[in-house]
Amino acid sequence: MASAASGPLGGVKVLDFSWALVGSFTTKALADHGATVIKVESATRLCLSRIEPQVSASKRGAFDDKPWFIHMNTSKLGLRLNMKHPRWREVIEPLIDWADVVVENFSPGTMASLGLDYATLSKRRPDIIMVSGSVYGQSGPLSREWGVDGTGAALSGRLFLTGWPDRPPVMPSAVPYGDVVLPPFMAAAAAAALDYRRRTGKGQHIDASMYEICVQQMAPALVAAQLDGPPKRMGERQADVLYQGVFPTLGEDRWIAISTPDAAGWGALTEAVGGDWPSAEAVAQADDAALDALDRRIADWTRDFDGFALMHQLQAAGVPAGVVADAGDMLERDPQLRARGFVEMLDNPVLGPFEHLAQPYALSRTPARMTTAPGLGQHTREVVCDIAGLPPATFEELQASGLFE
Amino acid sequence: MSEGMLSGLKVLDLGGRTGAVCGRFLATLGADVVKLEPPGGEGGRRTPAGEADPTWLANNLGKRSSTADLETAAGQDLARKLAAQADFLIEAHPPGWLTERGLDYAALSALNPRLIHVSITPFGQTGPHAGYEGTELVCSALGGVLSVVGYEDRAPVKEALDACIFHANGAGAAGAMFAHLERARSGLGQQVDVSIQHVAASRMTNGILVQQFDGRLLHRTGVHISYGQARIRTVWTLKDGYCFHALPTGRFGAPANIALSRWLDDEGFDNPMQGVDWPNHDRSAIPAETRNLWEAAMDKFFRSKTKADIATEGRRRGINAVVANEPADILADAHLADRNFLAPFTYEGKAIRFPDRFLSASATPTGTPGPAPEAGAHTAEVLSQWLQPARETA
Repeated sequence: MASAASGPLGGVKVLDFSWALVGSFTTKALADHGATVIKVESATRLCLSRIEPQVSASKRGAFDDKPWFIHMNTSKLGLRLNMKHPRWREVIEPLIDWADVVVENFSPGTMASLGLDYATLSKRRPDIIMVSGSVYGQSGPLSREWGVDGTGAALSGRLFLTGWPDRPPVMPSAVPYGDVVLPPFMAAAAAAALDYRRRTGKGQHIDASMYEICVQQMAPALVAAQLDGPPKRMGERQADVLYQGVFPTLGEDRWIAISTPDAAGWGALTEAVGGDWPSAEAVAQADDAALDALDRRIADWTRDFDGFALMHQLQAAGVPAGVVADAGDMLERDPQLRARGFVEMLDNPVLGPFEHLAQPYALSRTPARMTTAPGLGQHTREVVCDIAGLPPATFEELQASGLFE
Repeated sequence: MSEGMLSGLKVLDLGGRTGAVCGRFLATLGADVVKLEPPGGEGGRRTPAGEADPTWLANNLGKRSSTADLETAAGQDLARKLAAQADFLIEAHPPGWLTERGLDYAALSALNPRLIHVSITPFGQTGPHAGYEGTELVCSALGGVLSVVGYEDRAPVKEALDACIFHANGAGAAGAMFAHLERARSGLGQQVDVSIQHVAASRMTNGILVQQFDGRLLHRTGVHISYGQARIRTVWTLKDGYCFHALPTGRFGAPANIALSRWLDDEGFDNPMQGVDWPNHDRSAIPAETRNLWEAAMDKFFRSKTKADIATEGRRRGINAVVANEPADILADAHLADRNFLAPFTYEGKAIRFPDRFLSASATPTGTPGPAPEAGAHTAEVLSQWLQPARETA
């Protein structure tokens, strides 16, 4: 059984109906920080991440061998429950009485169709905290529309403003963004709501939208559009950074990012390169053609360097610079990420030991602790008997009737 | 519905430009967020070209501003007095900078053991590169996410605006709230150490996993995206803009795929997707030549459509395509209007609208409590409210 009261969220009880990314990442953050999280999974509607193989160690037809699912579901307890079985409420109702927080990220309307929406739950448990994540939010004309991570990128302007001015935009979500950025805000709100409940006795429903959080990230473009006119794609550039770019280094498809936010950085960079360069004041006023010419000069200089050596040299000179790292670099050639424990070797019963990605923020006195994800239904008996409090004989009877299949 | 989740809690915001969003979020939950800026205001208020910085404006809404010169003993002393009264401190200085001024976590927690001290820095507080300098671009490079964005024939290209910094501020808020809940039990604060590089790296899940298991690196693929072995086009050119559409897989994706294929047929476009068994379509298994044929037909089809076509007829048919909104489209969006998501404020006499909140809550307000402050506008009232002995309230 997962730890009971260690970590900052020790003692917090979470009933987790999440699937896919947004909900799973939210409850992962809560679970890694000590909350007891019961993930409810129905074999009639399993998360795609349990099904679709992405690495060669994963097999079709198996459910416990997908590292992507395992990553999103560390430190949780696994309850397998057939939500199409007529008696599923006999398990869920005592768990609702047990829970402090219910988390879900189904399409809005799904929880209501199960009788598990906030209006219904709060009649039974006025102090329950429900956290819902979705693409469009729980209300509004588009609330029931389909969406994935790329939808959030498109809706928010992130897609339109990522890429080069002379070409169509490129996906900023080649790695997920909205799916990963919404969860810390949902988890923060869950904890804040728990503290509010501690002081006032009141529960509430948190409605978090990927569209809206991505628009918050893009708020500067929204403000700029109203002050200065429609913003354009700017490649590597930013209006509030004096000069920056991504330049070639030795090796195939190897690059270094160099970014000088102010005159001090620009001075240090041009001194490192050598020769005559325009002043910081001139760079601040330079047009695209002039900046393109600077980019070509810098690239001619960087292309003969090993990227890592150049990064260390520029950093020593006070120039913000970093190689464009790939996953191999991150795992094998980044002592900083290693020092932070960005991955942790955990033994998984099916896949064996592999490096699980850890939470990217550290609490100094009550740090996160992670265990590997549960297999499908791994904790069903413990959850039903020890937490929901059903007698063992009832468990056996429900099991025989197919409730846990 | 007046008291927020964090009403009555004090946040001392030394976050500057990089750590601004964390305090902005806490202000929407009701906290009293006070920026402590150098006299005349922090540098981030203006762009290098000397103009008002929209990023600063957007990320400092709802805060108050007080000024102190942290290069002087008097300024440092004032900061310590404010920190002694604060529930949270947010800062984004290079590690060591606050230590030199007697304002690091060790010094402040001795004065105020309840303090939750959130540090949001490029590489975190410790480790061999903790002293390296970083920006959004540099952190996205070393965090791996830059490597997978962009066209194959050009350099990797950065995501729009401060994507990694924004995410790191969310991570700081989560850490702060977890510590806050824990403080109710222990009575003690702690330091929350956020590394922007590490936060960026936390999005490289798939890259880290496929490299570990199969020794395979993910590469940037322009307007395509990689799902496992599959390479799916995701950005399409319209008559007047772009849209996102990624042909989905399996029975979940089948209705949308059938709807798109039917739309091509209804309008008489060449359709090589006729007769596909969509419920059994596996995007990882179709040959590249087939995919190229389909994509050529879809490209021709999408180029004949406008953003309005996608948003109305496309939605009605359920093809799962979404317009790549420009800011003007967002400002005009009826869905956001229905949710009262955009709120007005005035900047230098000009009425503009901005995203009011980060999320909604049924029992407590989560909107932005006010405009971005003038530098030092609230110094006197903050000093009197925070530093005077608390008056008894009934």
